[in-house]
Amino acid sequence: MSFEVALEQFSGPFELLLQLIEQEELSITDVSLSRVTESFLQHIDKTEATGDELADFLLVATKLLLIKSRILLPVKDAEEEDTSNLALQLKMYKEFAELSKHIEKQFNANVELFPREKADVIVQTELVIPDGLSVIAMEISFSKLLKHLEPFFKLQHVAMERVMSVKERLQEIREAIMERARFSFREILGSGHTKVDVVISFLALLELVKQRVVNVVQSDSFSDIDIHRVD
Amino acid sequence: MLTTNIEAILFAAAKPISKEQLRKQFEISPEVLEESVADIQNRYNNATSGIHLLEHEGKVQFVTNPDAAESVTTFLKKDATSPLTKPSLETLTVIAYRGPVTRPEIEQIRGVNCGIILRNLLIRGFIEEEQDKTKLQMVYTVSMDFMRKLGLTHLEELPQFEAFHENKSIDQLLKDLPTDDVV
Repeated sequence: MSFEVALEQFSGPFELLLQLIEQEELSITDVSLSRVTESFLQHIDKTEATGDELADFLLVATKLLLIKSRILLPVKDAEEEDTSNLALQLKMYKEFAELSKHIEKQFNANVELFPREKADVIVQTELVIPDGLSVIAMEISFSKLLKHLEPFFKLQHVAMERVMSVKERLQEIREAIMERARFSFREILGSGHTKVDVVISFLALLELVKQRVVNVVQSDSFSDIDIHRVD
Repeated sequence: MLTTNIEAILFAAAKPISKEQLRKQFEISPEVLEESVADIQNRYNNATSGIHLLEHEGKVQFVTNPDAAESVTTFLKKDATSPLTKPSLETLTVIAYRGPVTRPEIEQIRGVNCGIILRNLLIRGFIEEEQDKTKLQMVYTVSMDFMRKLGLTHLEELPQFEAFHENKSIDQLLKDLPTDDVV
């Protein structure tokens, strides 16, 4: 970035070159290019340039040195193209630099053309009933919606019930164990129990064990569990 | 009737409308459309008309008369655009006169890397970038916004536009682009 500051007044190597040539009141030829080579190099020397821009300045510098060397030591059969190109390029650049002055003038001339800011968008303000809308269709839609939501309601219901039941069952077992010092897990379940009942009862039992209200003994896997009150 | 309808659409749409879109809507040939557009231009683009027709890159849009810019700016309380730096200005000039133009072509004319400047100009909305299908490269043109900022209803209004837009010696120089582009 420091390079940009140092060469701030130049938009690129061509502008620097052009300025050097114009200072000497020369026209753009290989000879005049070779004459400003030294000052061009001095300008580059003064910068701590990095990056692409430095590369471009250096590229021009090498071209200048080549031109200069050709003039000092004319060699026949050398590729003329390369050297004459720089002069041509510079001439072309000069023309565009001239044109850019007009663009700049126009840009700052306050001659802006204003378009309309916003299109008139057609806004529907009246109530538009969509095709095929009827009371029956609305009812069908609403039942469909409810059906969609059903699994969600069910799920919540079950979750709520289970929380309640564990608490209740725990209370039941606690009361039972206070009356009788011991009984079995199957007795708690009674007949006609569901899988959920078993799970809830078991959870309640575990909680009571944790609270050190009861002790449990199971003689074998899947056999009945004996429950004693802790005295 | 056709011209009337096109004129009405351009007024109502309030944004750049592509001529192709108009052509399709009315199912007309490009020649017939050009006639209508020319008719509208002839009636609007003169000193006494407050509205002008801007035409650029196949798009048309109704805009205000450049001479009215000051009044409109004041009335709409528009902020002035920040000035252009010299590199931006040069790059825009090259794109305006030579567009659609590739980045290597711009750099050949300016003799310096233009990547950052092009990106800034794109961000500021002064130029547009498009993939050229035959060159398989990005090509750049100035934007509608840039045209409006310069008060141009046609790029041809730029001084010596034709001389530089189609210039054999520039074409020749741009042809000699280094092909061993190391980026």
